[in-house]
Amino acid sequence: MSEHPTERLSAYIDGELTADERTSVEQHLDICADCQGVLADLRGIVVRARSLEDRPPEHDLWTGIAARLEEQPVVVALETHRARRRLSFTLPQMAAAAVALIVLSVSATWWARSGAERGTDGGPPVAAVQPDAATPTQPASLEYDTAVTDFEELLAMYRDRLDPQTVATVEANLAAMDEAIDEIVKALDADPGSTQLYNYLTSARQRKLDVMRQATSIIRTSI
Amino acid sequence: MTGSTKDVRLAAEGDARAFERLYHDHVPRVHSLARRMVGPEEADELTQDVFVLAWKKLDTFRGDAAFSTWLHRVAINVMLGYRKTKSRERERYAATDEPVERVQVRPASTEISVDMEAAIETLPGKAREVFVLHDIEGYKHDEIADLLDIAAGTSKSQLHRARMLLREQLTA
Repeated sequence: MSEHPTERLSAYIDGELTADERTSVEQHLDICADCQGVLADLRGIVVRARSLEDRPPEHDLWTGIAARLEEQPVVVALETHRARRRLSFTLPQMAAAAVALIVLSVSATWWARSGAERGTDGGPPVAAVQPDAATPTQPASLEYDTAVTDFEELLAMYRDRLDPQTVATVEANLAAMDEAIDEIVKALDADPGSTQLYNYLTSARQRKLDVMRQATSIIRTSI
Repeated sequence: MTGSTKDVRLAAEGDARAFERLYHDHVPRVHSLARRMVGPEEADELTQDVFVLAWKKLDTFRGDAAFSTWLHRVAINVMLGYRKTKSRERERYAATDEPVERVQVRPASTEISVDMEAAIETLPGKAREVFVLHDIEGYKHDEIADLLDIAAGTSKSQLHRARMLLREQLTA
């Protein structure tokens, strides 16, 4: 008996084999009860998959959706609790933060521009992303919005205690990343069905989150 | 003009009531897709994401295809984007987790034949995506290859793998 053509049974079911391959599989099936059984099982799975019925969610989701449709940009109250003590970072902290921010910002901008122009992959390696990072044109993400809000509040709270040059570096680089994000958003507006642009956008926002996370870590360890 | 077409036009003009009707018409399909692609725990949130995104993008719907087709494409993109980011997050933050490719599909001791929906949830990442897109949603391998950024041959092999894993589950 010839070798079991198990790996080709799905292609056989889907009609994707060449005539010769099909003949070969059929000749084996004629004499192999095991493969006949596997084939019958696989066919059964295909049939069951096609007959699955769509079900609505157990709970109505409209209320939550409606609330999000009316969502307005969060206005952050930035005053409260401004600290008096002026923070100063160590030189290594400053250097590390500045380098990280500049590298991430420049690469994000390049990546966004080139990605939007090409519409294909090829940018620098992307960082891990939040599961539901979002942008102004994407599904609202409480987690992302909260992270941005928290960071803005933190920066506002300790701005007076931070070295002005550090604050300027952080803000300038975040602004550059926002510019990159905006470019992807524009590209997505023109091509809303693009999975790649959607992924670019998600990754770009994750980069911003990473930068904010780094800066937050430095601030928290310095106060 | 059908009721649905009219609702699409009204919704694109900002009529939330019309969009709510569209939601009720299409939520079973979107939620089922979400459940199969990302699992029941996150299906509600992803379904909401799909409709919120669709609302924001409605002005880009040109009517070249049926609204259901357009919405389905939006949903697929949201699901795949979500799964991709989850996968990257796992790689980065949970390096010790068992890779999805090695997920034990069938617990050794179980003799319970689980139903199809539950069995799909146990499939490892790429096999699950390909199976849902091909066998349930009716996409072709070259379309899946574009969506998932993989080779068509990989899509075929993942589909076979998914079917074999489901066979193992469903015939246990």
